[in-house]
Amino acid sequence: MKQSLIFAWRNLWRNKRRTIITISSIVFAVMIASLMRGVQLGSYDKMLNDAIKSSTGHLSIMDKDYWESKTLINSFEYTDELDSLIRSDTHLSIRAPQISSGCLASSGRNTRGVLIMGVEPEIEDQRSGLRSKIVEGKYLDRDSEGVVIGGMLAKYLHLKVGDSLVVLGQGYMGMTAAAELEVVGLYHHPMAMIDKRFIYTNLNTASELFYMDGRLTSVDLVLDDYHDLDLAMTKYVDALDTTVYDIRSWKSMNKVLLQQIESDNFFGKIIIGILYLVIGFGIFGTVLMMVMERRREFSVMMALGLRSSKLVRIVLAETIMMGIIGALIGLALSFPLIYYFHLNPIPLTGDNAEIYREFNLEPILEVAIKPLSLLRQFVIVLILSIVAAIGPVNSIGNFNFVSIIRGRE
Amino acid sequence: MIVQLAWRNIWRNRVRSLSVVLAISVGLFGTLFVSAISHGMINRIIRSTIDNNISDIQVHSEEYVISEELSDVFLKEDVQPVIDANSGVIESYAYRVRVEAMASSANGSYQVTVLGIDKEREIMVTSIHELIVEGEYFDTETKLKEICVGRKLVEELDVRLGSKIVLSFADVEGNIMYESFKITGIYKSNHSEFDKVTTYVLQEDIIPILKTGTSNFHEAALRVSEDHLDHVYSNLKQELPGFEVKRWFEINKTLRAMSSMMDLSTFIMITIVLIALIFGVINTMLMVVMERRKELGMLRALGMNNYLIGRMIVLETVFLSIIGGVLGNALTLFAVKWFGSRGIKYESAAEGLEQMGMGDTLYPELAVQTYLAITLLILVTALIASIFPVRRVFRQNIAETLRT
Repeated sequence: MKQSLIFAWRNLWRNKRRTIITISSIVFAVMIASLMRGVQLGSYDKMLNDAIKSSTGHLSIMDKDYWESKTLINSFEYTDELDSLIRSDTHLSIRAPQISSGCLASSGRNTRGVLIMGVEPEIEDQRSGLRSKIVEGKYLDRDSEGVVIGGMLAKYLHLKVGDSLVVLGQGYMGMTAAAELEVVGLYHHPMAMIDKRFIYTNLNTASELFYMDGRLTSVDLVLDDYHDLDLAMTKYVDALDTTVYDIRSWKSMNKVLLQQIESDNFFGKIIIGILYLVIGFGIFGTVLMMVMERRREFSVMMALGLRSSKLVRIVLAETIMMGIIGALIGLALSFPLIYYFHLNPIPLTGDNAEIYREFNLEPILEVAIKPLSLLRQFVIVLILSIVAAIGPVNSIGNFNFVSIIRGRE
Repeated sequence: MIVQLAWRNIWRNRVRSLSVVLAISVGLFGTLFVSAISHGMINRIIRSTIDNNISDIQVHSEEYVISEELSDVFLKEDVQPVIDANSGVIESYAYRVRVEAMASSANGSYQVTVLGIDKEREIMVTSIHELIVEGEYFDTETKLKEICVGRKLVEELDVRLGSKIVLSFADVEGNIMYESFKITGIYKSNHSEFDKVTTYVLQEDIIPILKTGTSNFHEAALRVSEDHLDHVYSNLKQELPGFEVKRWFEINKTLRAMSSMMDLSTFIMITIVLIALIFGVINTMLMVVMERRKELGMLRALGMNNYLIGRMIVLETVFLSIIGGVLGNALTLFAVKWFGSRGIKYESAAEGLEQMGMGDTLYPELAVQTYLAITLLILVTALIASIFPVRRVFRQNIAETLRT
């Protein structure tokens, strides 16, 4: 075995240029594939994390009909019992009770449809970093009865900090909800939807506005450790009456996002598949050449009594060595790049940034470090080099060495 | 003669030539087909946005574009003569009033955009009337005010065809008005977000409530064939001072950006695959010249000049690439034709696709220029790939090669 390996290694360097070209092609493919996957998986992670942390939570407790029809009729009473249950849970990093409902907001003669988010200011800041997005005025504090609104909405409604806006909507049980609220701050949010449509206010203010009287539309829970999800799910399902409450996991709340990710991921994999296929043909050509140009040499060795299986082993070892070297160099070269971009996400500008905003995504390209995905590139290259070698290597067994040596073939 | 020689040479080792041809054609087919699918998606979004929503050209008053206030209307009489003057190239047009409102039912409320339309004229501009899945497009014998809403909004408000919903909005003086409408038509486009927020009512029903005036409108939507788009645009711009005339890609800026981003990513993908191909082709051609060392040395010894030999090897590479290129293009052309008319159902991601406005079926399509550009790129690739092997031949010492 050792001898075969030495043979194979020396054979590789008999035609340096060819070996280098083949290895470069593998390096190229591995680099492109791992960078592409890094960017793709990174952006999926970002999308999901953003969605989980700032909008849905890992788990959300709501009325059993709320998910299907998000109206205040389908709100639930936030009982002390429920409160103590959630407060006693030590695995949570965020507990966010909220009231959200659509409304008309107007100022002077201008009116816009908006979404009122009644939140606990500190918790909301933890979730979405809203405080740091304030560009004018100040953020909500515990007792303020004002609202913070997006810069774009302020522009439409001709509002400045200190002005007041009138909100008008439907409260719990269909009562008319109306109030005049002061704008205490303006925020700039990268997602257009939030900048244009969201109005944040204190939970109490929203509760009064909509006559909620202790009712909530949902309590979102973010776990310390994502792996505790199933455990937490069972805990809440057991503890709560499921004919009244619905306990939703982030997967069912982000179904559409997951599907978009799935379809994007599918195309990404296809592209990489094509790339490897093309490289595979290249390896096939190289192995074919390695066998064909050494026909005489092999035939002589076989005539001297070397079994063809040994030759097959040597050629296979040569191919696998090329694969391993290529994959290792590829990974070694791409890792610093991935690591760099992982630490320094690439901000998008201009038109591309607009597209991201249009789909309510933050215009940033994040690159993920996924050891498993990198390992997968390695395995793919190995399998590829073995598969590409099968055809040419097989032909060794069929050599008619007598006529090859005589120069008839 | 050299051409013939090169052509015959590539068939001397079929397995090898075929492996190169296959690599090129499969690589091309894969990349092209994937980009055809993404182009199909984007074009579908663009077309349905134009057809269902924004039309080719929109005219607003200058103020409306800035503040979108209800009072920023224009007088129909100011615009009509200009449209009439260009009637040869404007295919159709419609005037609309627009207002942001809150739609409420007993079960909930949702923010919507209400478009006050002219029943007859709107048909000629948008295709909403073709997308009606339940009820009629403003055709029922009801005394109530009619509203046509999207399937998604119906689900959101938990109402049915025939239900009444209340629209609340501010009129031109800033008074909040409540008005109930009967749902007489439900439409479904391939963009669920659009369906959720866009509703249609008749102008005669909404204008008196808004008090904006009977011949005052917020927007004029125009359909113009693609060839006349820029021409009509510049005419209108010139003849309508004080108005903001915009083409579809100026109204929805992301559409064209998406399309060009897709072009760019197609180009990057193809470049990556072509680079991957270069490695394979170089190796194959190196093998070809190494194998024919003696033969090539003999030719040179007999007085064939380097230029001719170089040309022969370049031609061989080019032939291989062209065969692969033609095959890959043909495969793509066929697959795009086949699936382009039938569509590829993508059930498992339907909701996600519909939210982005792509419907649940993918229709691949590819512009002719892409095929041409690809063919050119392959030729360039072949030329680059043949440099190494040719140099290799020239470096060989003729006497050496012949002696061994």
